[in-house]
Amino acid sequence: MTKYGMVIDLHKCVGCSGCSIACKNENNVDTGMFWAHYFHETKGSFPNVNYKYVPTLCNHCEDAACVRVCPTQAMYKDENGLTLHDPDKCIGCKSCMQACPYGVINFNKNKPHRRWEETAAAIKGGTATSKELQERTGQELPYYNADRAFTYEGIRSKGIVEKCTFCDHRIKDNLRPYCVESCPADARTFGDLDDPSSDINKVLAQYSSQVLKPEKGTKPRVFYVRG
Amino acid sequence: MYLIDKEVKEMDFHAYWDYRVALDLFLGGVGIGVFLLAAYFSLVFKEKSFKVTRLGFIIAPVLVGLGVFALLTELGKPFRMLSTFINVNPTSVTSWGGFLQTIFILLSFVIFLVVWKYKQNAYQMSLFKGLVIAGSVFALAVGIYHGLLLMSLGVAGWANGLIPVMFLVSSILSGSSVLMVVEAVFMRSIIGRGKEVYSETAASSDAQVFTYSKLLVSLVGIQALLILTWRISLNSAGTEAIIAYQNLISHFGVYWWILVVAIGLVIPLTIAGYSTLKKIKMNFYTAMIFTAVVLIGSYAFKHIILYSGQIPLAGL
Amino acid sequence: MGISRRGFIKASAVTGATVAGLSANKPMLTAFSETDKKEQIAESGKWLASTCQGCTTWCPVQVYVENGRAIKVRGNPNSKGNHGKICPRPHLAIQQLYDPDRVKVPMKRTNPKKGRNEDPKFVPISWEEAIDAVTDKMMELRKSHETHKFALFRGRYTGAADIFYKALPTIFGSPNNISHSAICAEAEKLGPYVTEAFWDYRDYDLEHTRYVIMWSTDPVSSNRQVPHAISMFGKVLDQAKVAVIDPRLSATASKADEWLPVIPGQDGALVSAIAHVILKEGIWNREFVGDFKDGENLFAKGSAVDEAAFEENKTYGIVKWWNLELKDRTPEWAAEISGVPAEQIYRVARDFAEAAPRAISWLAPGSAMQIRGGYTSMGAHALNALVGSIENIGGTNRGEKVPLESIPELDSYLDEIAKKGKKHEKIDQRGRIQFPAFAKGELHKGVVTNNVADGILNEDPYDIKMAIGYWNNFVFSCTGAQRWEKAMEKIPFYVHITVNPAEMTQYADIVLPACHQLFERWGVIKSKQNMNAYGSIQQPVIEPLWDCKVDETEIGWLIAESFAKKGFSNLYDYYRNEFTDPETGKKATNEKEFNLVATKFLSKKLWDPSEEKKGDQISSWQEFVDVGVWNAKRTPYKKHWEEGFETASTKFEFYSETLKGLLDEHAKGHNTSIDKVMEAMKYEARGDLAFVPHYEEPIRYGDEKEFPLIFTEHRSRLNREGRSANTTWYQEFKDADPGDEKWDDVIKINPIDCKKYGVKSGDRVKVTSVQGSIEVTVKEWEGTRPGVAVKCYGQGHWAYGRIATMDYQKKIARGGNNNEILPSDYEHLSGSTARHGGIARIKIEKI
Repeated sequence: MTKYGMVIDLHKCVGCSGCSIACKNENNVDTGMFWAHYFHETKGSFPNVNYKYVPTLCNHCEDAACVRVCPTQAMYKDENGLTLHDPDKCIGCKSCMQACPYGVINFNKNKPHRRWEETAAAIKGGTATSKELQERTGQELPYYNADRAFTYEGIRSKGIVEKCTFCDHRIKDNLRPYCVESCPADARTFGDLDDPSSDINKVLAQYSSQVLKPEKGTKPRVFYVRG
Repeated sequence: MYLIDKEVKEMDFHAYWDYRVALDLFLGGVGIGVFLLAAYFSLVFKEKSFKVTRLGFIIAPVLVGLGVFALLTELGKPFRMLSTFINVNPTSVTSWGGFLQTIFILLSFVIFLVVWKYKQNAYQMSLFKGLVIAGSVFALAVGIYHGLLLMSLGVAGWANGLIPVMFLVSSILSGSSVLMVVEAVFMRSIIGRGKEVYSETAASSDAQVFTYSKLLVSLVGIQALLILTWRISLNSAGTEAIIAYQNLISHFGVYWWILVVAIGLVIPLTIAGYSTLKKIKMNFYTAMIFTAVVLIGSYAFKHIILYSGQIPLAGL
Repeated sequence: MGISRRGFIKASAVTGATVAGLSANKPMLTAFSETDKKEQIAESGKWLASTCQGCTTWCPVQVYVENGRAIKVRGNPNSKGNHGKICPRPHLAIQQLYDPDRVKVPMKRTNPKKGRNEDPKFVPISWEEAIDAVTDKMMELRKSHETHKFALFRGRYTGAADIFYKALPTIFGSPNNISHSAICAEAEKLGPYVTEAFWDYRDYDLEHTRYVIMWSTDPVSSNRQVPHAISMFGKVLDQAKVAVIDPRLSATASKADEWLPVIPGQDGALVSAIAHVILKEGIWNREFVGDFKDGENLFAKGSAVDEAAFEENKTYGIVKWWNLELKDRTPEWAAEISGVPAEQIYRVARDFAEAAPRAISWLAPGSAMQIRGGYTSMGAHALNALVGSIENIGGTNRGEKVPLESIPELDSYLDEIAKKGKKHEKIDQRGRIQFPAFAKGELHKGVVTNNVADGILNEDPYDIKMAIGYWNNFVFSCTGAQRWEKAMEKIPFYVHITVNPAEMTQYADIVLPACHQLFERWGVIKSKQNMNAYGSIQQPVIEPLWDCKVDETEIGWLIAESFAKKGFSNLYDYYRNEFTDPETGKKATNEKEFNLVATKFLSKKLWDPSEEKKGDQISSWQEFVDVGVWNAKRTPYKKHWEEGFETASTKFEFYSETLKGLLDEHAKGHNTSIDKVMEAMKYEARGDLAFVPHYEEPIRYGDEKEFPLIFTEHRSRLNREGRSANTTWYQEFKDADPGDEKWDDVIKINPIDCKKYGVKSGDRVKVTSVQGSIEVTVKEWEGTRPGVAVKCYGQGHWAYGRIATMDYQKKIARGGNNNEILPSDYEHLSGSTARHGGIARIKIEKI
């Protein structure tokens, strides 16, 4: 049985947001939506100030609230323990967004990446336009990552939700999720929680860990250590 | 201006379930409330209630249908609504919604057809009684489903056991008031006679007497009590519940106190209470005012609870 | 699902069932057919090597390319410097590459009026027409023997810089090749130069260190060696202590063991106090510094020491330093001035010395680029010597040589006009009494970039009739920005080689679109980090998107060709004759070939099989292209301990004979004394004090009563040298900078001050200094000291593109440019622009 999870080492993490940006790149996520995000808190008063930065993403909960409330089972758990989304079944009711305690699900209110259809130029005839870039690259999004479409819609459609899939399109080929890959601090470890020798279990054995909002009963599979 | 700024300029908070969902909850609630009172009349007063219940049995599904339509326009993929009949999730209250509302609408419409075809004779038919009882079950189910859907999501502002009850009572209250106005408007000519008929019946037998005022003052009273209980329960329901309530007050405080409490509870309580105590009937105009304030209060209540529940709590 | 969603939709007609979502089957993760499997492996495109220049770490990277599109960027795993890591900036480069606001064709101005509120009314033209217009103007200057009135402004460059930046003006006959270095970090290099004759950025042995003092250094966010610092930081915090001296709570400070929230400009007091403690408590490193001859520590508060009593080992002038400056500089004294508690200063000094020699004093522009920051630079670096960490394990180090070629000698291509033209004084006035501007040990060699605006405005030494600028934006990036606006209005003919229509572009007569440095050009860069120096390639990983050309080589060639057609062939001859492809022996016949030939020529020693290499053994050009980076041998320790330093005394100089010699020469050149020079440079020190690190009171513009808050600025972890504000990802993640907000440009003020001035987070305010005003949003933040206002640099663009601005057409800025409230002034020894040290006082008014 495979049970994927992730652990984030907050001691190594410096809050650079590289993971969040890289995720958008890898998954063709539209402006205003975030599959990998963060929250930060500034506490105390000068000069005794504490600044905390915590990266967040879908926790691929064991008892996922989104799966529980989705009317069409568009949100589902797969055999590897991932919480995934079927873009064909989704009716866009957003019950999942209401139920998710972590706010990691995004809704496509409009067609994503519409700004790339813009035909006006800053300097007419002198600077480019978004539309020209679409034509030149033959893609809706010039830096479109086709890998994403192997297991999910490469660019999602208007009216459905979307969220992190633990880069299932990469892990199927034994590549790590892109946030894990991109982190310059090596703060993220991904792996199979059911495999006793996996890296993630080594980290979890070494440090005491926490999850976000355990009281919600969702049993998240993203753990935080050394916070 | 560039597309970006339009999309990104955020309001204070973004309510994904907006007025269209509020309309669904409201119209659907009024609809099942109308049905329930009409069902009661048809079972108790039988053919005497023909005119008013015939209207009731068609108004109910129309209102619920309008509500469902409003909801459909809110869906990201409205045409996929049909798929919810095939792709079902028993743990999802949202999943039940399509079934419950569809079955209710069909039942109520069939009942209307039966009444329309058989007129006064319908009320003696056991088929008719069976349908009405079935319809009532589903009406109740839909009325509870509204609040149950919100409660089931685990959202701090909605995760309270009284939410489904308050929504149901609000629905029955608004539906009953609407039916009262329907009767007053469409059967002005028989009001007096109708009521006299009831009174005569009462005088001559031990049959029940129906007074709207008594029903309505009870419902408003119950709702006021529920809301008060709900408010008190928040104090010991945990920090998130209190913060959610504070968010409600900071964003909608004025509307809450004026529309929901003053206009939606205090005024109708006064009107109906006065009529009940003085043992007089509400006249036409009073009935209209009563219904108007109840409807305002009911919509405001549902709208505010819906919106305020979506205000993000601090932290994550 | 065996095929992609899009493929499915395209392949089959859209059925009602699909539309209605009636498929009841769950998609199976592993339901691939055999043939599909091959086509659907993630990352089955190519990773091509290049170099990122988002900051000056200059990291080797790789770009993922599929079907001629650049999709994403990662670190080059072959590099020992950043070992496959990148910071967030390279991701933004993808959005820069595909920025719709890029200039796609050459343009010419049709509105003769120039000004911030003028629309240039650019129209597209051909390259031929554009280059023709450029060379016409330049030939005019040749004819009138006014070649010195031509200036070449260099912004961001590569290893090929001199091909354009040096060869063009020199052969043409102008002394005015003006780089941007002085607005960058030159004052930081001053300290290491006058002490150990090392004019360069340093490398740091983070892997082995036990203590790091960071002087306004924020290496997990910005310059330098960001990816390596981020990668190492967890380990550094485990093994070592980190003390950050910074007016604001930076990202590094938030994770450090100590935060010393110094009042802007008072860093020098901390330097002296720390040095005082180390000497007074006898905890300096004996191996490097030496000791008292009879072992008794005579450094006592307030008492001078006899120089003869101390025998120095690898250093020179320690007792002079004590006597002239340190003896009274106690932490108690420093605490009052700097706002840092005395006990913290003691603790940092003691812990720092205890960790010796694995103790780093890491100097950065924040503490050095101040009007009187030259001595802070010197002193902060000198602390390394006190603990013996110079070129030592866990300490501050240099880097091995990366043998890039210099351009071939130019002299034989200079005609009389050129020789004469070159002799004129440079437009930046370096060399005048207040600008000794020494760089790399030579007087008057350092550029005084920002002063060019004044030179132009005052026509002193003369007027500038024409300029070409590339990858620069002085109208935005220089303090006292308003002066540059006026200066650019004055230059009759300006050519801007740029990627986006920047602020400086708005004053151009000809605009030439530049290829993007990361993705669209051949080039070679050298740098160092993680104790490894390296040479890294840049290559065109995709076909250039637009009709753009490579700045240094292709445009240089086109200009040279055009000159030749007009009778002046020297530059063209130079390019044609002097650059040969080391592999093929061929010479370039057009500009595209020239870009490649020049790159191969310059990088030859890194990959040519016949060259002996002190580092990686790469044996062909193609191998270099594939691998992307040549690593030098790991930086050795203690090289100059044995050899001696290249200073005047051959030692590490606390009392800088090197600096004395330079100032002496400079003073003599002006028939005056060093003291007079010090006065002209706005330094307080006189006499011998001028040659040791010492405390100088900061200079602030604006009277305290009218301008109650001290303004200080910092860099963003997402700034690509001020060019990334036009990307959505920059705006969306801007709050990754502690205290900042998404899609906004906030001034961070302590809540106590906010209350005082009646503002709260989200309010719009007008921020005014003696220099000017900007309008921004307020943010209440505890990471700011009361009395100080902090704001990030990089926004406030009124041009550049439609995301960087609020409205490009109407020139409405998003946020405010710090340089519009920072007045122009200098650290005069190096000629650096002083943007730090609380140079400006401000007031805020709610709008």
